[in-house]
Amino acid sequence: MSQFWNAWNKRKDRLRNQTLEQHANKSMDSVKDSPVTSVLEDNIVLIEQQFGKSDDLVVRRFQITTGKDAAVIFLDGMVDRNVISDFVIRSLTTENVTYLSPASNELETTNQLRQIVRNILSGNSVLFIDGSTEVYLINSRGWDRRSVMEPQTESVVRGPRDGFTETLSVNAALIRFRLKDPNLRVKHLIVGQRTQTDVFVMHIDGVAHPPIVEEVIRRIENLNLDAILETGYIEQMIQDHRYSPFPQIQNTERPDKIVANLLEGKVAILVDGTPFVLIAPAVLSQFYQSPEDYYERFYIASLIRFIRVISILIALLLPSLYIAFSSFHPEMIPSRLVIAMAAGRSTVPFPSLVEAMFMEIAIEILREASVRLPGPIGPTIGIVGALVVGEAAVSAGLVSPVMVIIVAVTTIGSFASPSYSAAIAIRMLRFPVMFMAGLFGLYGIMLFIIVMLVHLSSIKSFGVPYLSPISPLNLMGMRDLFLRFPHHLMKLRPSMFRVHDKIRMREDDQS
Amino acid sequence: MDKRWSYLCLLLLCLSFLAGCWDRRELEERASVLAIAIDAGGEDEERYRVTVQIPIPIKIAGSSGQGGGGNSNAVKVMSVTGRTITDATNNLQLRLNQRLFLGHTRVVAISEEIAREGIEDILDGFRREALIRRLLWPIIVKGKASSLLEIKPQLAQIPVVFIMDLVENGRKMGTIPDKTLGDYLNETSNKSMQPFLNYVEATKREVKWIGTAIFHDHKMVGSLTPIQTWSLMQLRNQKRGGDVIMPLAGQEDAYVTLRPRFVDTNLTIQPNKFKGGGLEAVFSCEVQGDIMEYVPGNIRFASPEKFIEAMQKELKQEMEKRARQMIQKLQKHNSDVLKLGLHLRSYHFHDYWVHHDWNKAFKDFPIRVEYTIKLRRLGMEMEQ
Amino acid sequence: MKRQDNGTPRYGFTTWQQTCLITSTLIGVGVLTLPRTSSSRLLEAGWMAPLVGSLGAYISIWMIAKLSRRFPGMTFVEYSPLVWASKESPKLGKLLSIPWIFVYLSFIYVATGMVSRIFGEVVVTSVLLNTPLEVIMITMFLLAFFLSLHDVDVVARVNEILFPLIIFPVLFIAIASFQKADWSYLFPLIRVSGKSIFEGAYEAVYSFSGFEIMLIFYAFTQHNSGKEKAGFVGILMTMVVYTLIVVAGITVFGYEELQRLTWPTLELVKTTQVPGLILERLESAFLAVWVAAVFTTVANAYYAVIYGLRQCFNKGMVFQRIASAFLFIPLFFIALIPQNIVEIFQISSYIGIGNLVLNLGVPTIYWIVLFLRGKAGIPKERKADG
Repeated sequence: MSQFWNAWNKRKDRLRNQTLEQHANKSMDSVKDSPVTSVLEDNIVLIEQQFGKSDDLVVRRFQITTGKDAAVIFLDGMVDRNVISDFVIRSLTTENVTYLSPASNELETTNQLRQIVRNILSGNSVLFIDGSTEVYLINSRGWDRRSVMEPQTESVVRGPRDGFTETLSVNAALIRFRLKDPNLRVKHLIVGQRTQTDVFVMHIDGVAHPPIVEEVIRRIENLNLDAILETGYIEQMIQDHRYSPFPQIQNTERPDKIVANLLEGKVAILVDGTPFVLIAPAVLSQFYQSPEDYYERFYIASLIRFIRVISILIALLLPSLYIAFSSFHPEMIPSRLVIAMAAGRSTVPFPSLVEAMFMEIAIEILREASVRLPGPIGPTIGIVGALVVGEAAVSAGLVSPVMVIIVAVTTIGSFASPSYSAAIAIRMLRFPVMFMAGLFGLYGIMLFIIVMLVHLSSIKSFGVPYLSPISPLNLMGMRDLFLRFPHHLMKLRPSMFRVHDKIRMREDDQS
Repeated sequence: MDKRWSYLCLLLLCLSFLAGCWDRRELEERASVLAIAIDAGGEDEERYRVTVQIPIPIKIAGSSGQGGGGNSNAVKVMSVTGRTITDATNNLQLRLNQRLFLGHTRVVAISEEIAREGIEDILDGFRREALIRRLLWPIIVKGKASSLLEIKPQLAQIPVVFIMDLVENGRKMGTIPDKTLGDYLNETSNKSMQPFLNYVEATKREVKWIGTAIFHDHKMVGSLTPIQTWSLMQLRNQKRGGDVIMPLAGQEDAYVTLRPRFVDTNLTIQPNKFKGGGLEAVFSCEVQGDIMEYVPGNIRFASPEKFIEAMQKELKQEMEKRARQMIQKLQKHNSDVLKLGLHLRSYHFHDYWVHHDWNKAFKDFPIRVEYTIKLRRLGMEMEQ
Repeated sequence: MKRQDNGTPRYGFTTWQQTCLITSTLIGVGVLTLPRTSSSRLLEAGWMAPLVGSLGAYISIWMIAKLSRRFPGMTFVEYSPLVWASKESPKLGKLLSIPWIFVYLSFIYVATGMVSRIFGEVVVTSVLLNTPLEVIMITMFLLAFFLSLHDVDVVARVNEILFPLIIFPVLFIAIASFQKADWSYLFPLIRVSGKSIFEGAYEAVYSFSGFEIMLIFYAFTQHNSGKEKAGFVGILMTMVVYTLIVVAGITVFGYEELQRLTWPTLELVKTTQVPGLILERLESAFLAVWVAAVFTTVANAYYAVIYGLRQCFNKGMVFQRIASAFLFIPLFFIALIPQNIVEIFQISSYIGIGNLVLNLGVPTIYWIVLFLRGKAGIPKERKADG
């Protein structure tokens, strides 16, 4: 019997490998890196073969003024038609040209098939001329793209309102115009077997620590995936600790945040097709620092940052504290409040752990559902749902009124974190803490906090300990930790990223 | 790979905890006892009768819109007997559907009868119980202690809250001494001083504070009236005490009321000038206060300055008289609640303490009190 | 799973990290009983006990730091053979050092068990009354096990971050309780004989035990960091905290009452009233925070034992993880040996004495041997790794 089973498995594996090979042959690597011929029709046939006669591949044949046949090949929808018709075809057919210089902004020649195919796929057009093996690659990208708008996940009260878009070049431009430093280096990588996504890795030469930059580039280059659809793919593949709930690489939609982080010595990773840009290395402070902190004056900024930290702690610990106090340590609650709370709970048939879990899960479901609801209904349902469900649950005797307040405060508190990935981590960790509180009360909460602290101490992001600058203790770095010191006191860059150029503000000269 | 195995073992071990959450007890499963009253039990074996007051949560108004039925039924009073305190509480537990929770107990009322016999064994149980707060107030009740729990004051929903507020307010005003269980235990352990506790009397509708009960070791030996208690508080704790209402000498229906604002006391031990040899204790107490009420008699004073001088002199004599009465009572019952012994032990150890047995020596130790009254203000009215 | 290149095998602890390590290891279960044990012989002068008791600790830590400076980058386990070896046979060194290493490691091991036991007792009597003692001890062991799965630098960082969490509540309690203090409880200043001062101080010595783990952890420090300074400051801070607690205990309760309280510091927390604070009975909160202090004590000590064992057998990280998982089982049973609370306190006094002997004796003997063998010079050309 087992023999039959083994044979069956072997056959399945063999078939699977065969199919995989067939498919693999079709990916980019399989395009032979060979030069094209000088015969126009052959070249056209070659290209059409590569694309399997896709119907959106357009071949536009015409004659140049010198009398030769030419063809321009592009993918429909990806090109700006004006460039093709006005600049390429018209200039070549109407004007008297002795040498070919189609009027367009970018012009390259090649004779490698792979490069030609790649360019067609990127939205460029290729110009074949009969009798020449040189093929012109013309930049004609012009598909519809989203315009630069305010980022939806990170809005600020004061600060720039442009956010990244899905186009790599636009994103790079948004960074460049803010950081007119010739030392800003961009390294271009192509990642993903099938998607062939363009990736830029940016850093400021002389500020960022070279080993960190090299490590980032090395890890990205070693990726061997089919697809990079979003920076999240890259983030998850290159991070140090896969199984930690805490994000070790930051992501943002805001150019000003990227520029600020680049200036602190970090590395930015931009991926074509997504507005989210990665920042590496990232430490714990990403959870509650926002670029807005630097635009306002330091009292306000410190206060608001402090409020954020408190909200994060509340979002993490409040339900568990409620469970711990009401079930294990009621002597800690003032006597008058205890009676009121007991009165509220007297109709509830469940233990407070179950009650808390129930409410929290209900709120999570509501929250997730309201993300998908269209238009104006979404937020409204969220609020209405919470209020109505809460009230109804209390009247039905399912939860106590105190619980509703706690859950509401927790939910609101979790929105205070400016970084969405970090906020999710906190939301997720809420449940184990509640569980531990239900087992051991305050002692359980403390156990969990210790476990979390040990874990946080052991995480490093590209060699930088996650808990810097708290531990290892770095007093200079702590000027930007919870309070935001005034700008004139933060003249040096944080040294935990081992920057080379430490000074960011010089003393005023007498002149 | 090995790290994953270690994590797996960790997880499995943790899962085994699901077997039980031993200490979890929901709020509504606990019967919070806010006050305990201890009386003498009737029969021989059953030495104590313990009465408790348990609030009924549903009936308390202001919670989730339900309840709010009459104040009178907001608590339940239950009473059992037992051989010891713990025995009695266990008997009580047998009659309740919820677990007794002593973590919120604020008041322990003890009847005078039991106090006079000695309360050492009661307090031993309390010491060992982890949940009892040292901040609770033991109160001695004239008559039966359970009468304290059966009052139905109109001013508060839960009677014990009323008592708590009474003591709390008095403490803040400086008129009722703040004697907690912790203070009591400290003082009994300390070999150089004696404890005292608040003394109240309860009728059907109200509670009245009638002074303090003074102890020698664990037995109550006497009591001080409110006026004497205020003298004690001024000398011992530098608290204000209450208003001093004094009839003016030699006149009918003439009274003056002093409200102390600030009290400062110094205790010095000096060689005794009289009675040959030995030491005497001198309490110098400075009281600053305002005149709050003046019912004039026949005498008119020439000027406000003269008025103040005369008042200060008369008040001084009055206060000293009261203090003397208080000290006489203390020495009669041999209960050093003045912390005199502590002072002697701390600062005069080698010359006095090692040679004398304070238990016997306190009775005859010469103590003098000198008051200095300083009148600061006359209230809102300037005319005499 | 970890991607970064494993550069230097030995991480460099900074001076502050060493200080945090020492102080948080020392502050553990002793702080709860300290007012009582200090004033049992010394009466009102109990506050002198931590001062006098720490003298031995200063000398000892200085010697340990100097030993580590003499053999930079090496733990006790590694340099013991070097100390005991004569020129002819290095094997003799290994043989002679085995009993010392064994005594050292097993002593810390047993002490760790005792600390966990006391911790369990405190929690069971005052906070989680119905939870079985074994469960509480197992949770503490699991935490220590979790820490021992990681590298040494994690130990340093964890101690660094838990340090304020330990120090501030203890200081807060000490200072907040002064509002109920009666300072005449401290007088007369000295009424017992000088001899009893030393006798009374020995009760406090137990609270200063724990820094012998530095025999192992000093190896990971940067070579030019102030090892002696870190040791000195660490013990000084512990001494200050302890003295404050004892003073608070004496002035709030008086020395007689202190003798009747099992956990006087806990009672101190119970009597503290912070006006305006929503919560009343703070001792559950205090205990929750104190868990961190005990964790640093137990987990650091356990890590030292496991690491020492690992070096004895010259193994790697895998051995460390497996050994730490298995060595809990005997530890659990050792912790359950004392039958009642009275026995626990007796055993802890013995451990305190043993600790003093170990900490003073072993470095002294090592230095004597080094001097006799003429090897006492601090190396300059020796290869210092880390």
